[in-house]
Amino acid sequence: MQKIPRLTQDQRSNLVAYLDGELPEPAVKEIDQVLSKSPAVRHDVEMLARTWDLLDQLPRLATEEDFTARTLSVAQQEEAPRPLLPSSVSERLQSRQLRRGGILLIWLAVLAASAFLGYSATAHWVPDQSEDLLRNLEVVEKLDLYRNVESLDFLKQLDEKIGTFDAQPKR
Amino acid sequence: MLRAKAGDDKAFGQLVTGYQDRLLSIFYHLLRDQAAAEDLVQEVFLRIYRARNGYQPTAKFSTWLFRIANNVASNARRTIGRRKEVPLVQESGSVPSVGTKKKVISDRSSLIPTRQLVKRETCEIVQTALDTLNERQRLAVLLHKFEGMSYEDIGEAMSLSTEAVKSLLARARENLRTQLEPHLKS
Repeated sequence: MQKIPRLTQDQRSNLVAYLDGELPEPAVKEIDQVLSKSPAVRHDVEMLARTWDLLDQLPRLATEEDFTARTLSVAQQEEAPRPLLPSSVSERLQSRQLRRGGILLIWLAVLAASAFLGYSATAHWVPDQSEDLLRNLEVVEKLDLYRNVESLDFLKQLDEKIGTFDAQPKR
Repeated sequence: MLRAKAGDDKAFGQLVTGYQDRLLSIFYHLLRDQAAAEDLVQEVFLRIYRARNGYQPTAKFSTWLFRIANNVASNARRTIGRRKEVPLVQESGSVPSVGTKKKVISDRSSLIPTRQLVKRETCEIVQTALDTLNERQRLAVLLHKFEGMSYEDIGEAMSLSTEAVKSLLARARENLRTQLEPHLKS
């Protein structure tokens, strides 16, 4: 008695592809050979095919008649340039921005005025050390010479004997 | 699509008309919610419209369209999963109600009441079986069954290798067989 061939694991997993015509020719021939000799495999294939055919019972739906027009309209609306915000909102935002800009300018002006006043007051009231230096420039220039003078008495004695640098010596 | 890319909105309208019902059927069987499915169909075409200027005819237009559809469906599933507002599958498992404005395409034989009833029952059984598949299996089955797409094209649309599609469809069909075989015998 001839032994009934059985499908290998690979062949079994290829049965669906076999039915779908997605197998290469050699694999198709192998399965054909088993099918021709095995009623069990033929039954399996038959069941798979009939199951597949049952899916034809699934309903196919149709969109409403104006679906194309609606879709096209939405697509075109999306594409059309449009203001980011409605005009009333945009105007409100604009006036708010103007107000903010004005307040900022006022603050800047106050700040500048304060800085000017502060500088003027400082220049007027706080004694300037460089002015003292300028006033005493003669002394500063001869400071090294004056340092040799140890005391006022010595200077007076010197003055009595030979006179100061500027004045004429006393006779 | 190339005409649409060149700014021809009429050509774009023709594309919408040509694919809207096909996409609706697929989205409906993925989500089992007709209104949501219709929104997704519109979303697909809006994305295509926005992307039309960069369209390069390197692959079939339909493959490109179903790849976008796959992305839109994935996003929708994630959103639904997060919100948990809309069930992925309606509990009734029934076809869209007759009262809605949308029409179910029917063949002439379904006009006979008894046959219509049997067909409706069969349809519900098949839908229930389809709902047992996971999302990817279901999409692959629908693309193959409804669109007649090859494994390679399904792979393109779903970002999978041909071998992965083969395996996905094999498991899906085996699951469907398990679910539907008792009904086939009866």
